[in-house]
Amino acid sequence: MAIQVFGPDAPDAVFAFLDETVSMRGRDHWRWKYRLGSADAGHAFYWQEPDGRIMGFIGMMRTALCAGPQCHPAAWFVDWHVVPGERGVGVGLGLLRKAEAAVGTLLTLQGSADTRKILPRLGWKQSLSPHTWVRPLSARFLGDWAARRAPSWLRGPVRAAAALAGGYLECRRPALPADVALVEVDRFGADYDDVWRARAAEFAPAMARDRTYLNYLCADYPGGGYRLRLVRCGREAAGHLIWRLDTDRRGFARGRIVDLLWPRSRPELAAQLVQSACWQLQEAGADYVECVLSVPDLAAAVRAGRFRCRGPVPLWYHRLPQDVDKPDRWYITFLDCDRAYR
Amino acid sequence: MNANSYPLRRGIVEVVSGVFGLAPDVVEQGVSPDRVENWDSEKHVELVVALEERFGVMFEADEVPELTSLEQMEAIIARHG
Repeated sequence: MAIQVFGPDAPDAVFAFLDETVSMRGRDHWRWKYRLGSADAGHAFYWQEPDGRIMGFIGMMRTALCAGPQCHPAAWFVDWHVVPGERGVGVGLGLLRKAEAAVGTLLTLQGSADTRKILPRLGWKQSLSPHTWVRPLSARFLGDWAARRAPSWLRGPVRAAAALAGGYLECRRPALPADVALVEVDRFGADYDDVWRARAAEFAPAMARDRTYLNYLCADYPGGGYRLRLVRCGREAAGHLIWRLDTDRRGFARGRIVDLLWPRSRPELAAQLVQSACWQLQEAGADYVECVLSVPDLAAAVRAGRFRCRGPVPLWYHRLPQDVDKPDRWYITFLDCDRAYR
Repeated sequence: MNANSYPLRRGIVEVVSGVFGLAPDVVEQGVSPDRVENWDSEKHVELVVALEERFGVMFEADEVPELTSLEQMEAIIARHG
């Protein structure tokens, strides 16, 4: 036996491998993530030895890269794991080769240390345009953040000073223009595809953000937690704002602006949507808010919202369609690399 | 190994020798991930790329993990013509 397609009839050993080697998420998570049982399955592979042992796994989340009038098949590879040891040395590369052959454009964001060493040897290139941005929302978080960067003798005063910054950190409810409203929804309706078509022309190159894909990633996520807002301009839906709140490894309530779209001819709306997300997240108890983004107008919006840039998130790509520029200008957000999917 | 495969085997030995920093006569005695100390995933990538460049082939995904001995390298490369 060798490379197998991860499908609905995959042996239990594959699910056990994923839970033990990747993350203890359970069968429902893996079924959701790799769309097992749907027509979109078939974008993950595993290596099985003749004795039944699973030696490695690579999983891709399928998407479409929309550039101009055309959308090209693409996929993010998000799980790539191999059993350590002599037998596993070539399994990872074999699985990656399989993934490369399966889709036109294969991408990944960040990657492990091993991934970052191996990909350049295989001719992969990287773009450093996506960056992580962070804004503290609570004095507790600000104090912890500052104290960890201060010498030990200064940590007490730093925490005390941060405690006084509560007023500075407070988010005010932004005054949206009279014709703009944010409407909470459970999922995006059929009419949202028209909105995406309009926005795609303005935001391309970008990954598809139609209602099927947004609902799959956010509304249908087995862990829940995504908050979806429709942006209405007048009576028409014109975009969206998605955020989520969870707990980070240090126990802080982490808010994430997952994605937003707005009529790009109204640049002031980007900053207002960012402010609105910050206010909603602070009201929900977030200690800080972070986002990943790649384009100048959104960077200007978060800078105006007192975010600080924390550093680039390398975007790796294998090959690109002929009519698509390098990823330096692509519209990338947390939607494309949200760790919660993993 | 027959006489026709001699240049192929010699080329493989040269590639393996270069990738792992081993003397050709050591390589000729046989190599495998459990016999070569620094044969890890990263080195395997280097080996695969070097073999492909040397012999002008592109290995199938299923073949890549099998390139772990001189005999298997020779058989797989020969299969590519």
